Amino acid sequence: MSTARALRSGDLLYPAAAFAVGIALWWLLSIALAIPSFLLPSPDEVAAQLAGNPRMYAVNALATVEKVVFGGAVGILFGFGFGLLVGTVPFARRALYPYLVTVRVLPKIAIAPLLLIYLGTGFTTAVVFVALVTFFPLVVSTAAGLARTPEGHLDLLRSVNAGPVDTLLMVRLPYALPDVFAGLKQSVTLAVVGAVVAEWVVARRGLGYLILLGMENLRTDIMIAALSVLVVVGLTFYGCVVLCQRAVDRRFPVTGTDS
Amino acid sequence: MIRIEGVRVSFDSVTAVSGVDLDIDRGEFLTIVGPSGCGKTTLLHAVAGLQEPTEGRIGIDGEGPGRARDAGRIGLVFQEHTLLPWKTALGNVTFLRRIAGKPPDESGARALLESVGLSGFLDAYPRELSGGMAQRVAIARAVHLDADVLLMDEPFGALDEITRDELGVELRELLQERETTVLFVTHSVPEAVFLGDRCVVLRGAPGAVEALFDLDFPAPRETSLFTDSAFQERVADVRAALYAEASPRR
Ligand SMILES: Nc1ncnc2c1ncn2[C@@H]1O[C@H](COP(=O)(O)OP(=O)(O)OP(=O)(O)O)[C@@H](O)[C@H]1O
Ligand SMILES: [Mg+2]
Repeated sequence: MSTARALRSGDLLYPAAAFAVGIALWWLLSIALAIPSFLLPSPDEVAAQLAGNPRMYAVNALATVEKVVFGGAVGILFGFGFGLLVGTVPFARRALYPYLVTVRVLPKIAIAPLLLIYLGTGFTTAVVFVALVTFFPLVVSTAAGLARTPEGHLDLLRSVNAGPVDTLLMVRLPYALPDVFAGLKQSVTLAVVGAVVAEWVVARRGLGYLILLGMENLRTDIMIAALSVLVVVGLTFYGCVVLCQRAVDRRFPVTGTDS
Repeated sequence: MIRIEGVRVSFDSVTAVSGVDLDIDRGEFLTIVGPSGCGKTTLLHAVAGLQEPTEGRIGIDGEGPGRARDAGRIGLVFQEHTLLPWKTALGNVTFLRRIAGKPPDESGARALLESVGLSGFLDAYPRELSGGMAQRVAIARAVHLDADVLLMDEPFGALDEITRDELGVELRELLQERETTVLFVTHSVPEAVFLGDRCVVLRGAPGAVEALFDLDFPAPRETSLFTDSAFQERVADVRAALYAEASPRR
């Protein structure tokens, strides 16, 4: 079913309970086992770290968000455009699709040092890197989605001499939407990963940089605090895509009794 | 009038149909039966201009199928309803006509859906329709195109027998006051005999015309025809042609 299902109490209750248990276990580990706090700070120490330096975490989170937003926008724009090209122009598909699929085995992180040489150690490098990692999943999923239109629909459109634009906008793209969103979800997740990696390599700001700084100074409390902010940032982006998908799905419910 | 002359369609490794000659009158309802793989779908595709014949030619009132298609004269109905899941019944019926570049006629579309018994379902989505209702919408969509050639490829193939019979009666009724030429592929011999003005048996690999039957039962066709002895004889004749030993001419 595509219709948004009402949240049952259990949907929230169980994860919340698991979260509480996780925190409790963490507490136990750090206190009962007396693990030194420079190795594993207790939850309240991390919370205190966060509460004590709100500006630092906000500024650095913003720096990371900035990279995700700009890099993600560029990567998603190009990824979607390229996916349309590969998905609609048979020649482009045959020439490029094999490479797009194989490039997936290449860890994009390995490209970072090259970018460093080409683009220097500035904001641009980070944005380009994030764009790069978001680009590929979206190309592949958009192209795959465009191939999903049932053959009968295409015959039907050909039988009334429908133009390529009508065919794309009225039928093929709506059918591709579930794949496009699956790709988008991968992309935003990778965008956050990409931003952190970029910050390890080039930046002097951002949550990734903060984690690195924490490591150099053996400040696990800063590292874990930054990590938790990072989780919130990642979830926020992911949530945006999910909300977007729900809205689009209401307009173009592709699932259902369908042939 | 549709004229099929010496048509052969070959794909890379197989020839689907070969040496098919058929003349179909304007307004005629021609049913096509034949074993699976004998090239029925291929032949329809060729008439629809979706598949260029390897040999021979097809004329629709003297024009090639491509031109007839460009003029929006061809309506298709498949075994699957191929309705867009995000459009309502009414939206599905009007959208194809719009894409075909014909002037919109929403009241016509409504009337059409009402005439196939869907007055309460104009705003229903395909997932809310039964298989028979969805196929009614698909038929309405093709008729709403104002196509004068209707190509139907096992349109009732996925439906239960009662729904098939009902839809058959409705289809004949719907087309009664239109000059629509119909090519109707089916796997059901009784259905072919019940619906057709003529019935062609396609057989062989590659497929060719095995036999042609005139079916001059009076209109309107009612389900009572199924128990008529002349009807049952015709069904037996068509079956005989379908299952006879392969004729030596091929
Ligand atoms: N696009 C294609 N490419 C290659 N071969 C094809 C293609 N379309 C059909 N064929 C072949 O042509 C032959 C006739 O196929 P077709 O679909 O026209 O048969 P059919 O009579 O419609 O069968 P069925 O009753 O099962 O629908 C088959 O051998 C099939 O494999
Ligand atoms: Mg077929």
